[in-house]
Amino acid sequence: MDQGRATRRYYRVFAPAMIIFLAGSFGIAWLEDNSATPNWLLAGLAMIPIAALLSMFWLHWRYIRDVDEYLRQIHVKALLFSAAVALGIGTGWGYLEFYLDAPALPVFWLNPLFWTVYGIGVVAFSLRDGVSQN
Amino acid sequence: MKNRIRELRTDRGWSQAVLAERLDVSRQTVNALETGRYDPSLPLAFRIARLFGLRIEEVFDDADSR
Repeated sequence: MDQGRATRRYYRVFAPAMIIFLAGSFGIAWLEDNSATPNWLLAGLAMIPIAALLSMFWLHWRYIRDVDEYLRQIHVKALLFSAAVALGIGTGWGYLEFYLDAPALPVFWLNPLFWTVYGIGVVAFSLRDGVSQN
Repeated sequence: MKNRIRELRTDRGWSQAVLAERLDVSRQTVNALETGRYDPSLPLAFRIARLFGLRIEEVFDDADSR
């Protein structure tokens, strides 16, 4: 599959998934602050943004399968880089919580951190390998 | 690994985009191959050689890695 078609296929799912994730996350936070919605219902509603989040992983799986071998290795490198950063921070901070009574890290932010670092990684590895972003 | 992809492509008057389309890869991949930043998989190397009507060893030179 050519790069343009793979990218279009990616964004056709990514855009609605991101909207559902953001709307779900902010919507649940709003409900918690402004209504008497029981916690069990809030937890149930949280399955909606979680489903959107998981769809993004599936989407990336498909995208990496669709692009050619050279672009695939750039994305795989970026995914490993972002996993190392997110898990390193998460686990490292966990040790600080265990042994130094550091304040609890809001682990919700590990997901945005992961994807942000992934995006930076794709750009960095592309620039390093001389790939112009089309 | 050195290769003659740029030379073979320009001999035929093809742009990187044309070669990319014929190989079913991205233009970035062609650029990375031509500049030696990326060594292709064996299936892609065969596709490249077949496209130019040559044997793999006539396109790629692995002298540096021997």
